[in-house]
Amino acid sequence: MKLAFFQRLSQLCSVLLYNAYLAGFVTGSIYQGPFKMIPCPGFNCHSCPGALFLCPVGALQFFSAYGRYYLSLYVLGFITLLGAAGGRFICGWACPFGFLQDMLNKLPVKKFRIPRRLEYLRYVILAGVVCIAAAVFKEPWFCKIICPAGTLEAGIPLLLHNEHLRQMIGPVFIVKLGVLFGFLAWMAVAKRPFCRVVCPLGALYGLCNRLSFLKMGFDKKACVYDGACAPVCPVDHRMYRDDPNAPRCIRCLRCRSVCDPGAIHVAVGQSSDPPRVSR
Amino acid sequence: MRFFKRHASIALLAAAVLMLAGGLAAGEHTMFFTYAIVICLNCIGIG
Repeated sequence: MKLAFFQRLSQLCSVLLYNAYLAGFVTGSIYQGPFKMIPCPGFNCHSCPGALFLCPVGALQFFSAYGRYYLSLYVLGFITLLGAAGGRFICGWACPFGFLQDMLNKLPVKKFRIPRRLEYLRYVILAGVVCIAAAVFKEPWFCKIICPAGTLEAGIPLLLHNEHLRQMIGPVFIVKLGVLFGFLAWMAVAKRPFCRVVCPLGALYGLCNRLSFLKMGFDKKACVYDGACAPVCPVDHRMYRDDPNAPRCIRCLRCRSVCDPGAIHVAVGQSSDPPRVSR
Repeated sequence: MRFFKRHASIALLAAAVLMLAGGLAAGEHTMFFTYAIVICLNCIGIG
């Protein structure tokens, strides 16, 4: 499968690009150059020793807590710009955490489905934790308790390097470590649980799916309903049953690559009518 | 309303550009720079 190879390559390149400050991994320091003004398109902690870019979720929270007007226009504008272009395209092709989840899900262990209702939780986390709780309590609760990327990419490498930081470890770190291992275990047994249930960045991109220039389409007359697209979808989206442009779809295009009758297609450009679900 | 429905993608893109320009004009990027160049203790889990 050619497309699957290019998708993995793109994901791997995003990991390397977002964390290209390799000196940080050697010295245990973080990058302090001008790229840190630019939000990262994917989910990547900016306190990772290699991180070049700003974490958009951390930045939104920081601004909600300490900014002049609660919501950062700069970060929201950046995310909306990418969302307007491709919706959740970034989630499927250029997110390091998505890549990690895809890789862990390849482990040969029993798999479980994620209930669809649980997917609404990401909006609760986006609005409730990232925006409202940060503004009310002046604390970045998402980074502090929930975010497994911070523990994995920043916490563990920096603590391994810095004796001073190790002395400051307290119960919060133990909780975060538990959350991280909980997520890692969940990633092994379910498809992209973090993207579907928790990720506030994916929630924002997903809101743009129906309005973006890149759109998915489904032709019910061409579909033979053989279910070939179902097992390859990393988020359990069903093109033949659900809205092709639903916020769940991460536009990895895996379904399109295995659809021999060509019932699933990609369209670029704005449509004059809202996308319809063909049944 | 019909106009916005027909040109929803362009409207979204325009909104994004306006927000980005507004944020840059307000100097938010420099504020984030000072935030992102120090190790975030909350991210690590010791904050």
